[in-house]
Amino acid sequence: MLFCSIKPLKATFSLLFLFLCLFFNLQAQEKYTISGNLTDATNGEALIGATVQVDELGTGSATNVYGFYSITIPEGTYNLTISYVGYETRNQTVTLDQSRKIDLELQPQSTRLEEVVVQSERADKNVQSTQMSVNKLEMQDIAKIPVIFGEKDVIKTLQLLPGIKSSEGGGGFFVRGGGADQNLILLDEAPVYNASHLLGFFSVFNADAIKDLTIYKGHIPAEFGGRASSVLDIKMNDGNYKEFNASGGIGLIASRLTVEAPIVKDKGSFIVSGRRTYADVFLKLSSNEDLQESILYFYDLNAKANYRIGDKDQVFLSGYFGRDKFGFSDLFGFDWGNTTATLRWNHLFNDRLFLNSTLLFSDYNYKVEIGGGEEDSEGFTITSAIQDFSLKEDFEYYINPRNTLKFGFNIIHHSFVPGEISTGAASNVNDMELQKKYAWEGAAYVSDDMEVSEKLKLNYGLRYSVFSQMGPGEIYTYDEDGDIATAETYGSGETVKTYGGIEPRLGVTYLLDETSSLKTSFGRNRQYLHLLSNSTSGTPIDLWIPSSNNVKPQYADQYALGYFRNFNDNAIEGSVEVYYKDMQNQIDYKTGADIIFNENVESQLLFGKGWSYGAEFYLKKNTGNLTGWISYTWSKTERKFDGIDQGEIYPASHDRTHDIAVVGIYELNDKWSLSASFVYNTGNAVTYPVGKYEVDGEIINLYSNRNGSRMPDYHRLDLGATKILKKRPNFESSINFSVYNAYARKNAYSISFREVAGDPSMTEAVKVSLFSILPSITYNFKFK
Amino acid sequence: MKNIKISFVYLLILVGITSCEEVIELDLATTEPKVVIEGIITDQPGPYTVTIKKTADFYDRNNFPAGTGATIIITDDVGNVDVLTEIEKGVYQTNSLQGILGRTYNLTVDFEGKTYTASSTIPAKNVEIDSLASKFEEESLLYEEGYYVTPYFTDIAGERNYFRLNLFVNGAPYLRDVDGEMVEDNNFNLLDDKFFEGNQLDYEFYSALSAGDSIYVELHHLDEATYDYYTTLVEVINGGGMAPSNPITNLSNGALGYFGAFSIESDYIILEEE
Repeated sequence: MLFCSIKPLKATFSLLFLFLCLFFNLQAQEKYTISGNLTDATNGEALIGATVQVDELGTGSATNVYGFYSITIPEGTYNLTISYVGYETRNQTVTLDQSRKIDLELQPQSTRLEEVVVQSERADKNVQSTQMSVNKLEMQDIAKIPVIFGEKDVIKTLQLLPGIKSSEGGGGFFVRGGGADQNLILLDEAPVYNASHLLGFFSVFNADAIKDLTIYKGHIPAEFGGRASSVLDIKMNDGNYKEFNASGGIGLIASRLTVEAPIVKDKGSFIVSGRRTYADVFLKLSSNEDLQESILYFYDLNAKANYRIGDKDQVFLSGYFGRDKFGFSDLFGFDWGNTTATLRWNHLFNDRLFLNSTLLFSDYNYKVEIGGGEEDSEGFTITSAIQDFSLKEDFEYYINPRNTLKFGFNIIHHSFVPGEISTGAASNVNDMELQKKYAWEGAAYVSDDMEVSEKLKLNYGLRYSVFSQMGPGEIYTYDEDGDIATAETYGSGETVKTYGGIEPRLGVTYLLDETSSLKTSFGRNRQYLHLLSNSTSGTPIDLWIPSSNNVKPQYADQYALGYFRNFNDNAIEGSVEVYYKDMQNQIDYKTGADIIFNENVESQLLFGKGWSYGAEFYLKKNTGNLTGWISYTWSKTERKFDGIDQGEIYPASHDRTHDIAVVGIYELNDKWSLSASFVYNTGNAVTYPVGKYEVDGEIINLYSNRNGSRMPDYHRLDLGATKILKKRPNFESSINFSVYNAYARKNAYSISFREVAGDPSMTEAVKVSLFSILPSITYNFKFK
Repeated sequence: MKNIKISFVYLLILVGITSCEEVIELDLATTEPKVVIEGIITDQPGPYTVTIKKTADFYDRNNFPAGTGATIIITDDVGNVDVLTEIEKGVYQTNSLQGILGRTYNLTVDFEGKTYTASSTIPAKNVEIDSLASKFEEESLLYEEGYYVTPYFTDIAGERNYFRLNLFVNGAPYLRDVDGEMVEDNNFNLLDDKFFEGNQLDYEFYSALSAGDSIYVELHHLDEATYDYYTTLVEVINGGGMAPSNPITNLSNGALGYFGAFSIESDYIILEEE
């Protein structure tokens, strides 16, 4: 492999060297700073990634995720061009004889949609920036791309991008061959530990509450860490700073309502957004008593408020609360969900130094009640949870137009409740509690986005992360059979095991000309938490475990090389990326592993390594009546475990050779827009029988090598149409039609094997497919 | 009227969701026939049998070639040795051995130039069925209409215990209606004391029975290896989970199947009209 020769350690030293160079290059020269915030003129939402260009110097800056920008240049008179895709470009003349603060509002360009156009990125950002292996999704596209039941869904739409895979009816996704647990999913910076509703058919992110969505598949910026493969960074809407707004939708299975308004006009605002499914309402109509008493729904509640205190400070408070509830009369109850809370304080020390301080809370838990739960004398309740508290300090220092420095640290306290059983008085199940687990995770980082010359740009950074497994608890080691070998008791606050290490991150962009560039990157990512799952698709009872004396942290090294080229004045952007990723300390399970409610779950695991490589082709059309993209991924993901197939290499279950997605959105006229998406992929790697035998009178499948076979190919076409019904200054409405699986392809959800009906001396394979053609309809409205 | 409309829309969705089954022809790999050994020793009077068969290809008929001409010896940990006799093709029987609580049995099979071994222990204490209870359930989402039988038995405190329960209705395994076809229940009713340490356990058979049925229930008290074999075998029967692999066997040298030693207790009732 071409990239393998670069040793991580060598890369680390190169980075340090570059970093030192930067500081020697800083010159003391009379300079002033222009800084400020860019916002949307209609609702005051901060604009992320808008550019401020100094025409005379040919340099500029982009706004950060809070809409703040800062440029330090020599004294003089300049013309500034402020631009943002989807907005009117503004020009502003500045006489710079002192540092100035210039806040500007941009007017949305078109009125082509009922929704405010929040489109990010400057037009040629994909070519110009030092970031590669990154994708953004526009919320307006997400609203139009047809999805199952017409419930617009950020994670389902994400899977139409190159390098991101998932399966129908599975909540998890896989980025460049990484596992489902290797994605850091952040909602306003708080980690979300289980992003699925209803066993994976929907994600927990209510699109109405979301402003911006970015996924990093490689070259993860140094400010992010904790997962080996990707970061999905989701930002919630701030709420309208200008006027009251209420919007919502009524769909076949769920309804949504969002209310947003200024707290004090142009200073503070809030937004509350809710969604609830109502399958259970229909269950009540059933004549079957058991169905009437059954419960099946989920809801999401997002809330956010923010306030600007003076020129230099802004505080944000945001939260998410969502839950699935499933119940079957009083015999069985099951509910699960996430809670996150984010308190942020943006502070400007001066016009070049920006600080974001964040306090975070995240909780995922589930509860299973059998026979009425512990309240009932014969029932019992099982609970499990993971909970994080964390503090983050992120600085941005705008040294000069050629260098933007980011540095900071974070500390996370993890606590794990692997499982607890509480029982009613007469239950024959015992009260049980698996040991709680505790850990501290911390990291510090520094990175610089540097324009070395007009052609060459660098983004280089270092992150150091550390993780400690903490007491109290009885800590075990295991012998080869998985039996306890030693036991040692640790007190509260005592450190059991500490891991840590350097995570270098480097991205290099070389501009070939105005419209094309070459990029390369290297990054190491360490991961201290692991998800144990007894299904490939993810379930609510999947268990997060910390690294420990028995379980080493995972880490992945990724090397990528890309060619970026825009056509037709940035109307079409294209890219080709190749990558190689090496993953260490991966987890798999022993045959018959018992990972449910097991104190010694660590003894059930196998450890090995994995790697993946592939090529991603992406062509996206951004403007005109027809927009959309084509993505194609060729890839291979393999694993090697001493305990599986005697150490032979086998394909990971999510290994797929070909993955194609085509998405088109067509604006037919002022009222109608049409959309379509088509996906095709090679089937997942699976283990099929290679024979059969008889034991205990039963016909038993004989298996050979792990994942030696393939599911049938998957393909599907979805269609959508949106009609604007009313468009008045204070009321807008639209209706959306969608058809999932338009040509009723019977894609295999699973393959099973059984005796032939009518001839028990023969066996046959049976394909189960889930959704046939599935039409749906959604009505959306907005009051102002 | 409105309700009916809404119900109708909802029904459409449900129809959409309803999964669909289709028999497909797969191009499956094949492998050299492998040896399958199945042997059981219990605390009940012998003789006990060991069978040897071979595997077949998936799309072949279920005719599994018998493994004849093997030399099979079972010994126990007090020095008894039994050389088994092949009484029919691939079926071997003990001559003198008697299963006793707490004893460990060792199996040695010499077959076609390879030697396969395994050992299993009958747990030292037997566990009796305390009682058999039955109750009538009306038709509902959870139950077909009929009588349901629950055996009760008490876990031995202070050790891990593993059980299998077998139900016989009028002298034969329960016949279950699977898509219109009557299929014999495989009686893999397995449970351990993980959540019930030292308590009385119960296990309701999911079999709708009728008044007048004569019910015979066996409780097998297993060692851990046999239990692990059964649980992983059931995983394979149920489709294999996310990474199907062959059951964990106590047999050496790549043989399939198992050698299990366990004790059996039983109880008997005739269901009376409620």
